[in-house]
Order: sequence, then C-alpha cells, then structure tokens
Amino acid sequence: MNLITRIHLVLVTCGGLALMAFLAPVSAHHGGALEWDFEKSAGPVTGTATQFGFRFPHVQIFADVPDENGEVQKFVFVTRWTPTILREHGWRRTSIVPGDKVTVTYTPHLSNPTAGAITRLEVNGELLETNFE
Amino acid sequence: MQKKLKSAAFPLLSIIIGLSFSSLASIAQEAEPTDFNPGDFSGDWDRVTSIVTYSNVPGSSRAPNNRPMEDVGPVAEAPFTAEGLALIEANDPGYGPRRQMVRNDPLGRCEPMGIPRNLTAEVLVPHNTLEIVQLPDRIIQFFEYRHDWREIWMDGRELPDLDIYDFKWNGYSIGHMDGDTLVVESVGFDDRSWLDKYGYPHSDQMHLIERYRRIDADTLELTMTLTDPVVYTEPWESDVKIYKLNREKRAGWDEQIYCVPAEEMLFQDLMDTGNVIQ
Repeated sequence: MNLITRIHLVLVTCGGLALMAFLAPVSAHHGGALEWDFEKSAGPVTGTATQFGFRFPHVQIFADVPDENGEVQKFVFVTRWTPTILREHGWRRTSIVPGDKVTVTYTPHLSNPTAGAITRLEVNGELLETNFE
Repeated sequence: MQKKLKSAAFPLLSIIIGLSFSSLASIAQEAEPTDFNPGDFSGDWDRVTSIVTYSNVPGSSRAPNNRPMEDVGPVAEAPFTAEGLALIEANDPGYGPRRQMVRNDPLGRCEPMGIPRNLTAEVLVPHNTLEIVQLPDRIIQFFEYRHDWREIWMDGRELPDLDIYDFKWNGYSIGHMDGDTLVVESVGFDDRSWLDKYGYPHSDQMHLIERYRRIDADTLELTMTLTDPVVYTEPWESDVKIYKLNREKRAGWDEQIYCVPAEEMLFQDLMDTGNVIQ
C-alpha cells in the first residue's frame, strides 16, 4: 500500500468514525427504552420556552403550550442527543432562553401527554437542527 | 547571475521536494503507531463489541451506536439458582426482554453502577470511554459515564477480610500480571447494583475475575469469570469484550457526567417511570 493510499485510508476511517458518533441516539440511557410511541408523530405545536436545561443525559426544553381551547399546558421536550453532540452542531447553553417562541414536532410519550422527544425544532422561527441522521 | 540562479534551482527544488516527502512519511508513521508495550494498559478505551450486558444473554446485541444487531452467538441465558431467578424477576429494567415502563433500575436513582456494569460501557459514543491509568502500586480505571472510578491494587496485598470490611459498590480489587495478561480479582460487592442494564443480579458473595490483554497497539480485550453461588449455579463466563484506543479523547474536555439527583429524579418523574426516591 503506497503512502497516498494509506493517508486516504486514515482520512476515510476517521470520517466514518465521526459519522458513527453523530448517528448515536441516546434514547433514555438514564434507564429506559420504552417511553416513546415511535409509531406516531405529534405537532407541530408552538409555545413559549420557560426553561432550557442544556445538560445530561437529555437536553430539556420546558414550554407553555396553549391547547386548542387556549388553556396552557406545561410541556417538556427532550432531545435524542447529549449536550456534547449538540454542541458539535452549534447548540449552546444560550440557544434558548425563557420567552423564546418554540415550535416543536415530536414523538409523543406513551403515558405522559405533555412530554415529547423532539424531531423538529424552530426557535423564534429559525430551525435549530436536531436530526443528524 | 542568471546562470547561477538556474544552476541552483534544481538542487533547491530537489531539497524542497525531499523535505516534503519526508514530512509526509513522518506524518504517516505517526498516524499508524504499531509499537506497544503489552504490559501497558493506559489510555482511553471505547467499547466496540455489541454485547451490552455482562455476557451474551438473549436480546443483548446492540452496536456502540445503539443500533440493534443480530445476536452474535453463542447466546445463553445465565445459569440461575432458584434465588437468582427470584432476584431477576424482582428487577424491572428499562431495557431488554424483561423491560418495563415502570422500573426500578438503580441507575435511574443515581445509584452507582458498580463493577462489572461500569466496564460494559453501555452508553454510546462519545461517552463510553474507560480510561486506564497505571501507577507504580495500582491501576485506576476512570469511567466517563457517571464520573466514577475504581482502584486495582498491584502491590501484592491480599483481598480484605469481609468479616471486617463492608461491601462496596465497586468492591475491592487486586491484580497481577500473568504473562501479558492483567488478571484482576475482586470481592466485597454491594448487592444493590445490577450486573448490567438488563437487570441481571448478583449477591454480596460475587467473586469476579477480569482478564485484560492488549492484543495490539489499539486493541484491548477483556473477559470475565463471575462466581456467585447464591445467584448462579456455576461460574459464568462473559463474552469477549473489545475496546479500541481513542487517541483523540484528551484533545477535548472531560464531560463530567455526574448523575445529579435533582435532575435525574425530575426526569424520571416526567417520563412516568416510577423510579424516584420517595
């Protein structure tokens, strides 16, 4: 194997490993894999962020979301990815602040109607990337 | 003057080209180290084999990126005693064939994972790193997930008298070299921990042997033998676990993945798992 081929092989391998890292879902490694109804998709719903937890194991966005009757429901939306991986994609602990408008499409929780795993997220009308597959 | 410049050009160009190739060759050489000391286990190691439990029990194969995989075989259920069966039935994990929505995994209450669960690196890249540090009298293993660590004493001491010493989450460990294999022997485990995320149990009588072998510069192999007459009818061998050296890990920062009870309990409550400290 000549030198150029060896260097190319190293670069391709590193790229592949990096891609594998970004494909790593972390669905509930705090202790479960059953919470989500992956057969369904809910939303988009729009609400007002009240708290942003940029922390392990899953980043959490708490939001007040009015239902169809105008009554405010307190939702929690979680990301599939850890803060480490989100940071690689431009997220920061200041990416969302209380008062921001959040529009969320999500996988619903099986038993908690106000919990969801984010599949698409807009913050003040701007897409904040959550799907790296 | 022009003649002098022309006559100097070719040698200069040759030198420049020669130095460039020399640099590239040097880079290529540094990128592919092959020399290693088989008695040196230090470094950051990422699990790359698919079994996420102590051994290859039914349903255990998941890739490091958490994708389900075909069972790699041979698959075998643990050799339970009657009490062992009762213990696993009482455990309600969130993963595996026995998984439950309402669960009691100690992990979900921020309780330590213990050994061997810390070793099976059940979490995903880039957080599945086991760092090994070798000191003159002991080896320290740091586990990035849950920010835990344990000591393996290499100073020739004997295991402690468990009539005197209490049971600990990571037990008590001593080690020695057997040729190129690091043999670690451990006792004194707190029985509140689980062997793995599927809820396989152990008692405080567990006796664990770990065998580490660095089979090349970038590959670490671990096999384990667990003896626990309370829970298992015979010594239970693990599958072969392979770790790869992560040479880039320390270019970043320790994520300090503590389990913070206030945060974890909130999350468990939101997810309706019932796994909260009352």
